[in-house]
Amino acid sequence: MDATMNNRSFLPAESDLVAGLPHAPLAMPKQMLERAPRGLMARLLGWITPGTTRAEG
Amino acid sequence: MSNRGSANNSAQTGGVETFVSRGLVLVASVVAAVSAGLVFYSYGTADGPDHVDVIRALLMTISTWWLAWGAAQGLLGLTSRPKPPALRQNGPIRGRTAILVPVYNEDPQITFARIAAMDASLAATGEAGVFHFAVLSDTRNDTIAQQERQWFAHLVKARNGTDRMFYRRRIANTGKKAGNIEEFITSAGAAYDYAIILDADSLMEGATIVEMIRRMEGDPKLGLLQSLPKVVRASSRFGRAMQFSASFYSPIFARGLAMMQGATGPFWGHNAAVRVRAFAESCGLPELSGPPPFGGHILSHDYVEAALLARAGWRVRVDDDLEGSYEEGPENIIDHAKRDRRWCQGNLQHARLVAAPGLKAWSRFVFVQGIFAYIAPVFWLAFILASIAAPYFAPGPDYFPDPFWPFPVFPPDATSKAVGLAVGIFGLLLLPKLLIVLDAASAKRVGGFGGTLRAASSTFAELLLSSITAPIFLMFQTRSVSQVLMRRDGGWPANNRGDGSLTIADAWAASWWITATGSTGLLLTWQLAPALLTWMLPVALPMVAAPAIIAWSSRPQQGSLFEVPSDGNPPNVLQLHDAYLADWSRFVAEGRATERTLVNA
Repeated sequence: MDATMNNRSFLPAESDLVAGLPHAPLAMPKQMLERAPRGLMARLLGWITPGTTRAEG
Repeated sequence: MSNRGSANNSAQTGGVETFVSRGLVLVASVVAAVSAGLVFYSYGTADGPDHVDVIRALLMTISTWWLAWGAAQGLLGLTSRPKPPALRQNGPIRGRTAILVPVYNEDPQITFARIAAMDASLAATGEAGVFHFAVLSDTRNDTIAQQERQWFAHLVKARNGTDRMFYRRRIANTGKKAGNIEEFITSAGAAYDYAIILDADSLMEGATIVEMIRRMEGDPKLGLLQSLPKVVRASSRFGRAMQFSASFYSPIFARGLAMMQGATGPFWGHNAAVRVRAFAESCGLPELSGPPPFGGHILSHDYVEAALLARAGWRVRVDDDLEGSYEEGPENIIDHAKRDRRWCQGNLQHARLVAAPGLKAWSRFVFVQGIFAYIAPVFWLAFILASIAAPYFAPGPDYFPDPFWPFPVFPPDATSKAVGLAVGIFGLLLLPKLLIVLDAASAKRVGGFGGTLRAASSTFAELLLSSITAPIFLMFQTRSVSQVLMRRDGGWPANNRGDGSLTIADAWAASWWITATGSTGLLLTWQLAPALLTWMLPVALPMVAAPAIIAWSSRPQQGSLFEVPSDGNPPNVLQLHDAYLADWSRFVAEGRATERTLVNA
C-alpha cells in the first residue's frame, strides 16, 4: 500500500460510513471435549502430567 | 421450499458407498504397507536377521502405509465424477447470510478489493439483497488498523454498502480466528441463518456463494458445506507448481476424500458455508486443560468444529463439484514451511481430542490422519538413520552354516528385492498422478492446462520438483514436530520481498542446518555404510543443496509450464478484483478523492 494512505484523510466522515454490526446475540455453549479420567488412570495421568487431566467444558 | 430430487446420494449423506470406499482404501493401503514391510524384512535379513532389521521393517511398513493411503485415495477419486447433490433449493433464497472476512494484519487495500469484487459478483446473481459482509479484524498493528478503517470506508462508498457491510476490530484477539468467529456469532449471529467463512486471501464467485446457500437451504440437516478452493495468482516456480497441483490433482484426491467421508466431511477453515444455529449450538470451543502446545486454545479449530457438528448430528460435506472458489498459496518453501509449522502444532494438539466423548469414529480417524501427516516424515527419517546404522548390528557372514558341508554357502543376492521395493514405493507416488493425466486427457479436462502434452510435461516437472523438495520438507516437518514436543518457538528469520522471491542469503539463513544435516548424513553413510551411498544420494543431495533449491524455486516462473485454466481465462471474480485494485491504486496515486465506483463492473 502507498505510504500516503496513513496520513491522508480522504474520506468525508469516517463515522458515517463505518456502520456497526447488528446486535443479535446467540449463545455458543462450550463443548465437552475432554473426558475426565477416572480411578487408576486419573492417578497415573495426574502423576505423569500434572494439571492436564481436568475435564473442561 | 422446492427441492430438486427426493433423495441424497449415499456419498453425500454417508451410506453404503461411503462404507465401501473407506473399506477399499483401508484394505488396499494396509496390504501395500504389509507387503512392503515383508519384502523389506526379507531383503534386510538376507545376511541374517537382527533387531535393527525388525525395526527397519516396521518403520518401512508404517511409512509405506501413509504413502499408500494417499495413493489409494487418489485412485478412488478416479472411479467417479463430481456430481451435484440431490437436495437443493430452487426458489428465491429466504435466509440471510453473513459473509465473514477475518483479517489479521493483512494489506487492507488488497483484502477489501476482494470484498468489492465478491460483492460485484454477487450483485450479478440478483440475490445480493440477502447477503451482508462483515470484516472481523483481529489486527494487532494500530497503523494497519487505521488503514483498515479508511479502506473499509472506501469499500462501502465504492459498493454502496451502507447497512450491509460491517467492520469491527477486537481489542484482544482471544482464541485467534476461532475466537474471532465466535465473537461474531455471540454478538450478531442471531441476525443470520448462514455464514460464509472466508480467509483474508479468499475469493469466491457470487454464483458459487449463492449455490452453496441454495444447497444449505435445500438440506435442513446440512450443518457445513465446504468448497474446494483452487490456488490462484501464483508466480514463482514453487508457487506455480503448487497451483498446478491444486488445480490438476486436487479435484481427484478431493473426490476420493468426499467418497470416503460421506456426511462426516471436512472443514478447512475457509471458503465454506455454515448454518449459524448449528455452528453456535455445536462449536463453542473450550480451552484445553494444561499449558500449550497440547493445552490452551485449540489452534487447528476447523477439524474440531467439523467433528463437533457431526457429533451433534449435522451433516458436514465437501461438494467437489463446486467451482468458483479460490485462495492464494505460499510462493516459496520458507513461507510454506512457516504455515506448516502452525498446522503441525495444531494437528499434534488433536492428540488430546482423539478420545473426546461422542465423536464419530471417522472424526477420530481424521484426527489421527492429521497427526500422521506430520509424524510420517519422522518415520522416514528414522528409517534412513536405522539403515545407516544397520551394518553395525548385522551378524558377520557365515559361509559354512552346515558343519557337514565342505563348500561355502554365499548369502542370496537380495538386490532384486530392494529394487522391486523401490519401484513399488515410487509407483505409489507416481501412479495416481500419471493416471490423473490419462483421466484428464480422456475427460477432455486438459484444455485449460495447455493440452495433453503440456499437462503431461507439467506433471513430470511437478513430480521432479516435489521429489527434490521432499527431503527439505522432511527436515522442516521433523523440526516442527521436535519443536512442538519440546515446546520451542520456530524462530524464523524475516525474509521475503513482496513477490515471495528469496535471495540465497535468505534461504541460507533458514536452511543452513538442513545442508549441515545432509552433509553429515552423506559423510556418515560413506564411512559406516558405503553400500548405501547410492541410495542415500536422492535424499542427501537435495538437503545439501537446500538453500540453492529454496532460492531458485522462489524466483518467477517463465514459460508455459504449470499452465492452469485461470491463466488463459481468469475467473470473473479475479478480473473484478484486478479492476478494483487498479482503480484503488490509481486513486491513491492521484492523491485525490474520486467518485468513481465499479458498481457496474
